Amino acid sequence: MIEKVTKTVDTLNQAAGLKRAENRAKWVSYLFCFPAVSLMFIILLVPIFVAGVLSFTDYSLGNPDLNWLGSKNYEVIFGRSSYQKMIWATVTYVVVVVPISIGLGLGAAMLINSVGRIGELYKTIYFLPVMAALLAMALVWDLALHPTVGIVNQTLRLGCGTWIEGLFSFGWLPWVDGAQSWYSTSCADEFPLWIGDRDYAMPTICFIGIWQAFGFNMVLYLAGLTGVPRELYHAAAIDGVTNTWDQFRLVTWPMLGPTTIFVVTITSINSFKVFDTVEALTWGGPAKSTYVMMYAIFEKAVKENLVGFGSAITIVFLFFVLLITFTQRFLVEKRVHYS
Amino acid sequence: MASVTIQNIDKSFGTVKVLNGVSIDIEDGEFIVLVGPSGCGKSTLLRIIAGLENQNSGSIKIGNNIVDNLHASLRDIAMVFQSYALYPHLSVAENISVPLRMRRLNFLQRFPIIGRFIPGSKAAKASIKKDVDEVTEMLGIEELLHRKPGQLSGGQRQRVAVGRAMVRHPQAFLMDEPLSNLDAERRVHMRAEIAELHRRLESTFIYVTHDQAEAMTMADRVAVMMDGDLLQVDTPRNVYANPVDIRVAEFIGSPKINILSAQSNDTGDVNVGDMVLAGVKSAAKNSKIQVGVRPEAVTLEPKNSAGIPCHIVHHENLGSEAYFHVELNSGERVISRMDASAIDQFSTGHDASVMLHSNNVLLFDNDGQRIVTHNEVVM
Repeated sequence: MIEKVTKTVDTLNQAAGLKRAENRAKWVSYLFCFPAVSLMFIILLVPIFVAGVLSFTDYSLGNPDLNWLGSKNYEVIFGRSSYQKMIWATVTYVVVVVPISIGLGLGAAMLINSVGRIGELYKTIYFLPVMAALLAMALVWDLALHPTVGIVNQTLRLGCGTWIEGLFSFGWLPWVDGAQSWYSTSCADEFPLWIGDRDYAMPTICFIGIWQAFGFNMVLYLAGLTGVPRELYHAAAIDGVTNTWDQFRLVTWPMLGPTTIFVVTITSINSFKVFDTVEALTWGGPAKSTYVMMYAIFEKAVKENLVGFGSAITIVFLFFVLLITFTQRFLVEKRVHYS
Repeated sequence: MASVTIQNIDKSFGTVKVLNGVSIDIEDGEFIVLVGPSGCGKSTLLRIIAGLENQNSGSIKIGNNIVDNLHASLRDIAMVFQSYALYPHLSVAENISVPLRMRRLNFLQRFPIIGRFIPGSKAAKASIKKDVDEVTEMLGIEELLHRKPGQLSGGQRQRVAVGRAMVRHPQAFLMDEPLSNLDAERRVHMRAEIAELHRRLESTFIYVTHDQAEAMTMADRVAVMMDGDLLQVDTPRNVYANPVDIRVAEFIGSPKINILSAQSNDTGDVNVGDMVLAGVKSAAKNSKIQVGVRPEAVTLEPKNSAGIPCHIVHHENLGSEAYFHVELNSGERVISRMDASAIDQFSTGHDASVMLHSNNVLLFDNDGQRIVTHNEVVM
C-alpha cells in the first residue's frame, strides 16, 4: 500500500518536474528573443508610433510647449495648394520614373543577354550611375544644365543653323512645320533654363532619376533572365513561335513575373524617396514644381523645426509606401508565382 | 507521318566533336530509339533533327523535304522534353493549345483583348478547343484542364507534354528522355503507355534514352551510339544477340555481358584459359581475342567437373532467378544467371566450375570488332 502511494507521488513529482522544465524552456526562449525584439521596437516601431502621435501636435524641437491640434496638420496637407502640389509632384515623379526606368532596364537586359562578350562592357557602363553617389552626380548635372555655360545648352546652341537643326526640327516630315518646332524656336529665342524653369524642372529631375535607376533595374532583370529555362524557348520554337515578340509574350515576360514585381516595388519606393537631386538642384522650386514629399519633410521638420507638421507628412508618406508594399504582397504576388 | 532520313551528320562544339558522320534511315511509322551512355551525342542528334541546333555538315530529310534550312517550327515535328518544358503560367488546356494557337490564329488574333474582335478568330478558337478536347480525352486528363503545371504530378505533366506534342498531328515525334524524371514504377507504366500510343497514332517516333531497358522494350529498331559514332541500328533482339561491336555488347544487357580474354590457334579453335570452346571456330587464327558470353549462357557445375574452376565470390537472389559472381583462377570475374533453385547447390564462399555455352559465345578481336564465328553443332 505504502509502496503504491510512494510510486504515485513519484510519478506526480516527475510530471511536475517535466512541467517545470517545459515552462523554463519556454521562458528561456523568450529571453533569447528579447534583445532582437526589443531592438526592433526601439529603433523601428516606436519612432513610427512617436511620429504618429507628434503629427497631431505642433511640437518643435527645444520648445517646451506642446499643443494638441487634432487633425489640423492633415487638413493643411490635403487642403492647402502648396501641399497638394507636393503630392502631385511626388506622384508625377513616381509615375514617370517607374515605368520608363523599368522599361529601359528590361530592354537593356534583353539586349545585353542576346549579345555575346561585349554585353559585359554595356553592363558596366549602364551600371556606372548606380555606383556613383547621387548627390555628387546631381552637382555634375547642375553644372551641365547651367543655362549659359552648361554643356547641354552649349551643345544645343552649336547645332543651330546647321543640318542638326534641320534634322531635329523635323521639318523634313511633310506634316511638320520646321520653323515652329521646339528646336528652331529655341534657336531663335533661347534654350530652356532647365532646372530654373517651372515647366522643365520636373521633367529634368525625372530624367536624372531614370538615368540613375535604370542600370539597377537592368541588373535585376539580367539576374531574372538567367533563371528562364532554355528548354522553354526550345519548346516555344517547336510550338511555332517564330518572332521575338511571340517569344517574349509566351516565355520571357511571364517567367520574369516575380522579378518584375520586385523591381516595381523597389523602384516605386525609391522614387517616393527622391530627395538628393531636389536638394542639390532645385530646393523644391521653381514655384513648388519639384516640391516632393521627402524634401518637404526635410524642409519642415529640419530646416523650419516644425517637427509636428513634418511628422504628419511622414505619416502620409508612410501610407503611400505601405500601400505599394501591400499591393505587391497580396494582390500581385500570387499571380506570378506559378508553383 | 513521314520517314526521316539522316545523312552523314557531323557536329562539333568548338574543338569537341560530338557526332561523326551519323546516318540513319527511319521508316514511316517506325519507333526508333537512340540509346547510349550520357555524352554520346544522342540528344544532340535529336536536337539537330528538331532544328534547335545546326549540324556542321550532312543533311536531314523529313518525308521528301530537306529541312536543313528550316526553322524548328516549320519542320512539322513535335518534341517532348526531359523537363517537359510546360509553360508554368498557362493552364493544361492553354499549354496544349499553344501549338494550334500559333498556327491557326494570326498575329492580331493572338492579342489578349483585341484578338476577340478580329474576324475569323471565333471559328478558329472553336476548332482549337475541339482538337484540344479530343487529345485530353484520349490521354485521360480531362479533369486537369484548368490546373497549372505546378499543381500536377510528374506523370500528369508528362501526359500534358505528350498532349501538346500530339495535338497538331505532326510528321514525327521526337522524345528526349521523357521518362527520366519519373519514379521507377511510373516509368515502367509509361513505357507501355507510350508504346501503345505509338501503335494508335501510327506515327514516326524518335526516342532518346540512356536506359537500355526502355530501348529494348519499346523500339522497333534500336540505334546504339557511343562517342559520337553510330555503332549499330537493328531490332532489339539482334542488338542483344548479335552485336557488331564489343561496346554494343557491353552496353546492352543487364547484368553486363562477361568478357574473357582468349587465344585462337591456327585451326581456329578458341582457348579460354585451359578450356577449349567446343564447336567454336574463329575466323581470326593465331591471335589474342576476346570472348563475350551473356550471363544466361554461363552455368555453374559442381567442383571438379568439366569447365573452368572458379570461386563463388557473391550471389544475389532475385526470387525467380539468381546471379552468381565468380572469380576464375586468372583473376577474371564472371557473372552467371541461373534459376533461383541453384542457390541450394551453389553459394557464396564455395568453389565450383564454370561452363560456357558455346553456341551463345560472341568473339571479338582486340579492337572490339566482331569476328566471324563458325558454330558447329555439338551433340
